[in-house]
Amino acid sequence: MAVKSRFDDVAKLVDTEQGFISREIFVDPDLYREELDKVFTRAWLFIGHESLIPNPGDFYTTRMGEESVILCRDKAGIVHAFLNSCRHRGMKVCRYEQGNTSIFTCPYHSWTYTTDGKLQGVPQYRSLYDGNLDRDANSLVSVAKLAIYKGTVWATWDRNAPEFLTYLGDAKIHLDQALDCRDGREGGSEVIGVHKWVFPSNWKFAAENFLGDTYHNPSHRSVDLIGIGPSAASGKKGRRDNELEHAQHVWISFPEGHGVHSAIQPENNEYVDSFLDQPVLEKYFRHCYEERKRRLGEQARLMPFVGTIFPNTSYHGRQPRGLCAWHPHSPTSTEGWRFFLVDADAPKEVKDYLRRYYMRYSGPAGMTEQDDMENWLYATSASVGTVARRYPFNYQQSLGAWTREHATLGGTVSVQVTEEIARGYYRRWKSYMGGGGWDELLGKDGVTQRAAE
Amino acid sequence: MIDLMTLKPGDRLLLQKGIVAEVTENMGDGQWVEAKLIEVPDSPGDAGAVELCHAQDIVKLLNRS
Repeated sequence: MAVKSRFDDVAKLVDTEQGFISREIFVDPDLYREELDKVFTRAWLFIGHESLIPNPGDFYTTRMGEESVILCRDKAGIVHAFLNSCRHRGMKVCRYEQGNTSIFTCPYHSWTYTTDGKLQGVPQYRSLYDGNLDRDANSLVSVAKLAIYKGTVWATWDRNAPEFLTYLGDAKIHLDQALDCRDGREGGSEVIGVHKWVFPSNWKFAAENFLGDTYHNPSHRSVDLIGIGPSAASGKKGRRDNELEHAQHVWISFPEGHGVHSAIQPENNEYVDSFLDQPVLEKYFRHCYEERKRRLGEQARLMPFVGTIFPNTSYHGRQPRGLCAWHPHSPTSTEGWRFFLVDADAPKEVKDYLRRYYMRYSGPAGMTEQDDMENWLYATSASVGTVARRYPFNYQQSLGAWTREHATLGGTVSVQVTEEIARGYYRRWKSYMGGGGWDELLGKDGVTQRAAE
Repeated sequence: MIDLMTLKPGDRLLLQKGIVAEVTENMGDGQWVEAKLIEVPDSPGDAGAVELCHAQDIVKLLNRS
């Protein structure tokens, strides 16, 4: 039976046309249970990266919603994802974060599964089960669909979900800018570390932050003044090098609920001095920039900034560069997993520097992320009260200031700071909570597009 | 009780229900060995099958390889 919250009509809590969203969707336990059921069992979720499991038998324990999932490369080299729960009594069959194995043995009664998820070993199989236990039917529960895209691994529990690239839609060209090599080659990234930490906030605050909420920039003022970027010691303050100082910034809402903040470099697309504190990196990234221009031509003008792929995967595209999954723990608790990305064939010195820079910026000790988390957790705690819940959040910024008259960017484009992306995100969240079909969830039904059209 | 860590490929085991099996691989987890079934009194057609044998299935070690 489907999970149902105490709210008669969840849609009434989210008014994206007028720009008001109830605080209940950020704090209410019933709604939270309902979104685990209606959002996290249907949407495509980011679950890891191939570089974390390069060899047969490698596994990485990941999450989908609240549930533990084993991402594993079997002995034939095929990547699988299974619910980390024994079919006998539910014990976790894997209690390690990552490693290499030939089998997963449940610690409780020793039911044992091979790396392709098949139930292989059952103690006293022939004496207690007469050799008749249906092993296939008792294999680990596999995700319904799994996709590997430029090294990233995604999965969904919904067998009726569209293929991943259909789900990604036109956000693909923006996510690509984070996943592709710095010199424009396709893919080729690797994870050089994962940070995991829990913070007392609703997961949607984090997801929304990276949709393109540029409006919160003042909360990073102290970091900008100090200067933590790769040219800070050379006198360029800020969180990062200002590679996009001459670019046209664009904020784009996609019908599938995704949102990005990207930028378009001017026609001459000249390299902006970066990584001035490290000559090796300066030379490397200058080379990559010119190579990317040569390879991609006009397309190289599109540069990434940040984005969120619905519902809970965010990315940083340049400085820093990585993916983040916002795993829900409760209405008011979230576990962030930051996967730091580099080009797999970058020089060691480049990787080492970027690792340190990424940690200085993001993750639990990252100075910028700490600013963000402070906002998210206080916004959450200040919204649980009886009186606070009576007053919705305001999402009226830049209402109507968008266009679809563009050639290549996809989606609904704004050229000013906007909450249109957030409105699009929650419009789609509402579709999931209403149990919408996939045409609606992809924004193809013609009904759930903006009413203002 | 048999210490599975000491078993090697070729060792012969007596399993429950009178099954005789030969160790083909010991993955060293202390719980399981892979074994080829040699004699299966209740189901002779299963002879030759390779299965995982759990420590609890093993009655005794018949002989070392």
